[in-house]
Amino acid sequence: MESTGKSRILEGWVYPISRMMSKGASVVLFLMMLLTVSDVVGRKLFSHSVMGAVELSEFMLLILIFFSLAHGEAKNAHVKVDFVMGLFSPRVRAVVDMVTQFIGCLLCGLITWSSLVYAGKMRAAGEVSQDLWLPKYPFVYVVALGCGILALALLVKFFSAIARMGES
Amino acid sequence: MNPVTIGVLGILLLFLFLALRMQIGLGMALVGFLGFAVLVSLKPAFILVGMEPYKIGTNYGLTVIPLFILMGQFASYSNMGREIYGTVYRWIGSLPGGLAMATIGACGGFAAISGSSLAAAATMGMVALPEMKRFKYDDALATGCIAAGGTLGILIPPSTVMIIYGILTQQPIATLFVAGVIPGALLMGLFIMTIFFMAKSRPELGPPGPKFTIREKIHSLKDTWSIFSLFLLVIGGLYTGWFTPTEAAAVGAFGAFVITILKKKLTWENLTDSLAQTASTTAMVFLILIGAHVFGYFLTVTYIPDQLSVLATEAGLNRYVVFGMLVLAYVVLGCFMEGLAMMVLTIPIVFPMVINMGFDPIWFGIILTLVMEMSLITPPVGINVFIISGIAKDVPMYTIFRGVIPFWFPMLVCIILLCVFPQIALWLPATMGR
Repeated sequence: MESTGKSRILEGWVYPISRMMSKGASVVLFLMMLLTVSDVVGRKLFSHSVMGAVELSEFMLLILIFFSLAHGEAKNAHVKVDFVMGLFSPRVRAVVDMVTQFIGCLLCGLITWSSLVYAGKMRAAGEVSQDLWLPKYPFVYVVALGCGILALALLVKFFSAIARMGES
Repeated sequence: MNPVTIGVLGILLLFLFLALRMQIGLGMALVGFLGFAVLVSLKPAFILVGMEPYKIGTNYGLTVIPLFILMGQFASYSNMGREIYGTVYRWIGSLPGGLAMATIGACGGFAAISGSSLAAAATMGMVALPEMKRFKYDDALATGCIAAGGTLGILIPPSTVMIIYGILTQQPIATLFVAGVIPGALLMGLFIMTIFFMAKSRPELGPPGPKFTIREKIHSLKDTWSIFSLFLLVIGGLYTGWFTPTEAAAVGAFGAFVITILKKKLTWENLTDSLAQTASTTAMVFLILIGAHVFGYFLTVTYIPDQLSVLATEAGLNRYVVFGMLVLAYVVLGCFMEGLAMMVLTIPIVFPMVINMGFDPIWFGIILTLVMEMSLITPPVGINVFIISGIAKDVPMYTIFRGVIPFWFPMLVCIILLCVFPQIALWLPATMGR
């Protein structure tokens, strides 16, 4: 029961945050489409492309991906092989989920840590993009943020697996 | 331990994690990280997992993925699927099995503006299934033809499977798309022939639909302008070399968006839903891509891909025998695994081998797409069948699986034809503008 409570509390703020981030991702996606279309139309019809369109699309793609990762996990969008575990009882499945989701959470934590280190290095080196001279390091922090929230979403899954173990 | 042994252990560990329902992308990243740490050392492995997500996330070439998915999403809401069905229905609906044939035709038409088989099956399921029920079609045929026809979504361009294949193997996406056009039309024809012969030998399976006058038939053609213009703009633009894949994808998504507005189907819900769905699918695909890349670094330092391709050439087997075994292995694997997962797991190992044996990489991409199509409708895990089962709630899943069996044969015939006449896939790309 205690773990059910923990999972509820954590879920209560991890999922709303990830939902908000995914809304941001939707907006960025729409803007990315408009940006590329105006770049194409400008170049083909008026031989005038949008300055920095390529690198802006790259940064937008990055935001789109890493702002959607955790919400994807909340909605169970990430592909798994269900076939084998489908042969086992709910209790076995809960135990296995507990282990795999905890390992996944640790892995995402590791990726978050490593990208934080990488962002620090980029900041110190003062790397900027080619055309618009935007600093690159904030976008590495976006990676860290996305993976960090994904790690928390996996922690929610871990607690809910423990809760399922108690129920069955 | 030598690198090959560690590599084999790593692959086995990955299969264990996947069988235990770990997210595929996370499983690949984890084993890739561990293996790289063992074979190289911990520090570079740590740096690798920090840099790879950023590098993949800011790769301009990969923006095609969300943009083509978005195009398909808008297309699903635009009513274009219903309209193309209406048109084909008027032309061939009165033949024996005509409604099922029309379903296949409409699936092919929808596939020309959408890169997803699931979307094609879901859209056509909602449109065509009630019609076939009304005319007392056999449940197995009605559901089976939608599940099978839906698979055309990834063979007829645009195609998400071909995009991922192109990215993983560094083959040009435009060429792959163009190579899919003729095989797609061929498979569509084979499906229709299959239905025709079934309905001829057992007329009770698919009674003829209503007849329409030639005037009504010609009049119905006007509904297809949107699909034709969007397909010509996007795939034609790629064929002539006028657009890069990213440009074609953005123009396609925007075109589908405008068409949805013109057809007065764009509501706030449809818009936010299309964007949210696309974002979610994008996250799913990229988690797998990131995992696949990290895993790929590990696989490279194990030398397994090199050793396997040497082995395959030195074994002295006829290359078509090896190829046949590969296809068989894919079909079996496809019974249990989702297509995308199967592809990212196997391509790093299989692709170098196939190329080493002298097969064409574009042609192999088309073959692999066909095998992926089969995996969508083979039990026990057939995603398209699950989709149809969600729509046709009164039809048992078993009946749907029974209904798709006749459609495996045209798929096999299509693979064999492609082996005997590789030009079916390679002729059109050879005429492309640069």
